[in-house]
Amino acid sequence: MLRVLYSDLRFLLKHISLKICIGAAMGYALAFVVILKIIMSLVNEGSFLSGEDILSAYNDIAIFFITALAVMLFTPDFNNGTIRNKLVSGLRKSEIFLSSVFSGMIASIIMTVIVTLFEALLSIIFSEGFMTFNLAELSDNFLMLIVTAAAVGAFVTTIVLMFGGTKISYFAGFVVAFFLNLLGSEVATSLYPLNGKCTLTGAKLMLYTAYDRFMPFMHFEGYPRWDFLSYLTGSIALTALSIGIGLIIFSKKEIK
Amino acid sequence: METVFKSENLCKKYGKFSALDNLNIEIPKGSIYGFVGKNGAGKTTLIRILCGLQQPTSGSFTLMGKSFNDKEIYKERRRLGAVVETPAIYKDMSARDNLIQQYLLLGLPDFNGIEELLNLVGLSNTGKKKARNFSLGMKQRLGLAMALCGNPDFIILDEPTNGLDPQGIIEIRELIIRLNREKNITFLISSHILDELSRIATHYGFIDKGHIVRQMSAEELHAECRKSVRITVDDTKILAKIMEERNIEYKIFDEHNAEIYDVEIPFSDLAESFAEENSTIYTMGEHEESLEAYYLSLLGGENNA
Repeated sequence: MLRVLYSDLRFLLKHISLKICIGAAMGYALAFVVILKIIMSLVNEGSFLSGEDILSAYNDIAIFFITALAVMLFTPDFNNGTIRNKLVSGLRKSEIFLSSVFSGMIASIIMTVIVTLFEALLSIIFSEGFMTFNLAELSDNFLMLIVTAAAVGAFVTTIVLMFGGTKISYFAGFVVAFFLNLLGSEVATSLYPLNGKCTLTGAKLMLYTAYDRFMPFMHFEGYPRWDFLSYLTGSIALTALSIGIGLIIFSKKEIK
Repeated sequence: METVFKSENLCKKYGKFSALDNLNIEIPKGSIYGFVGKNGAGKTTLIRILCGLQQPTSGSFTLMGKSFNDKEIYKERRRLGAVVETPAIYKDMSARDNLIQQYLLLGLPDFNGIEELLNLVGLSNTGKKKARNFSLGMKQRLGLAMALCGNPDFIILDEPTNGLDPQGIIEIRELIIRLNREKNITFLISSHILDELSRIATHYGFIDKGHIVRQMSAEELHAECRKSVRITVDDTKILAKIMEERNIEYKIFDEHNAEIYDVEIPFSDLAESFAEENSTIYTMGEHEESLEAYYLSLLGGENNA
């Protein structure tokens, strides 16, 4: 298991996909700041950019960047036949799957850490400061983000591996990410409406609250609303489910 | 006879289609086994099952003595090297980096053998060039080098000379023979180039519609190949008439060239018959049937190998 993980990690660090995705995410964060600055200077001279605004730029669409990274890293394994080579080299399917999922998690963490640090740098340069959080809370938020990125990385890598070798693998992750983003927006706007109070009651309120509290995709949405333990529980559950279901499907899958 | 791979009544079905139908094959240890059959005959399916990429629907096989349902069979696959269909390489890495990846996968303690492998397949001067920019022949050589990592006992090559130039074909052929003789590595080679295969194979397996039609050693093939006499005359119509009268099997190539399948026929008899018809024999020579001709007589038809 360790030898394939070592080989996969070496591959991901050498592969251009990681650099492309990190570059694109940093570019997006920079563009976000520049565009907001221009709009603010043109439309509303009194408004200002807070550090929190800049830090949320990547978070809002992190799931798409992580999905793109997983697709770019793991679909070539099927297209180039290198996954075939791993089996011929005496590795078990479970080892190959677990190694890929761990690599996906690590790649996702690397990207998230680098982009968040870049956003922090942008915040120091371009923002008027942090209005809501102190340094301890920001550190806590950063830790949550890392845990969330790992869980989402495991989830999307599993999707890519389950559909690997078919054209579906290219867009299945994005379709799921898009759907979850929509669902996340619906839950967030229902629970925390911009105008007025939350009108949800009963089972729907319970369901939406549980989703908001435990679903890692919600942890990317805006500022932390729950305790670290809730986020950790949700992330561990998603990772465990992804690995469990993925292992069953992948071990039955015939590699082309 | 010690075998590296042996199957009994191996079947693989895709829905109603039987890719392998009660296939029985034995690959002797130390052999260069030429695997011959039409497209869709089941060659790649068998190779894929052997490599653990697919599971058989029924039947059984042993690999290096380990049964297919033995949980430890994956360990035997570490003694295997394979190039299945296309070379499995990381396109964004150099040849050296690709071999390092393979060394890591195999859990080899150091990278000492990499330079030797690169020299062996003629890729030592590729430097940092990415495999993406390699020619088909270079990719094929790299695939072969990957298969050779870790000194395997059994190497499976699917179309190893595909995309190689004539010089490359000769080099790969010599490399296979050398590895077989010096390191006693067993090879299973599936190739469309039967002439090339006949130069190296020590054993043959002819597969058709998912089952082995015939297995034989190169000596047995040599003994069974029909001998003939290639003949050039001024008019093959007269030759046809003479052969019909003598009830000898023959084959006309064009108006001057033909082949007759009775090597015992005395030249003087034949010359006399031609003289009686006022016809001339220009050349005559004994000819042995090739692997290709044997294959055609055994399996027939188009879409060969």
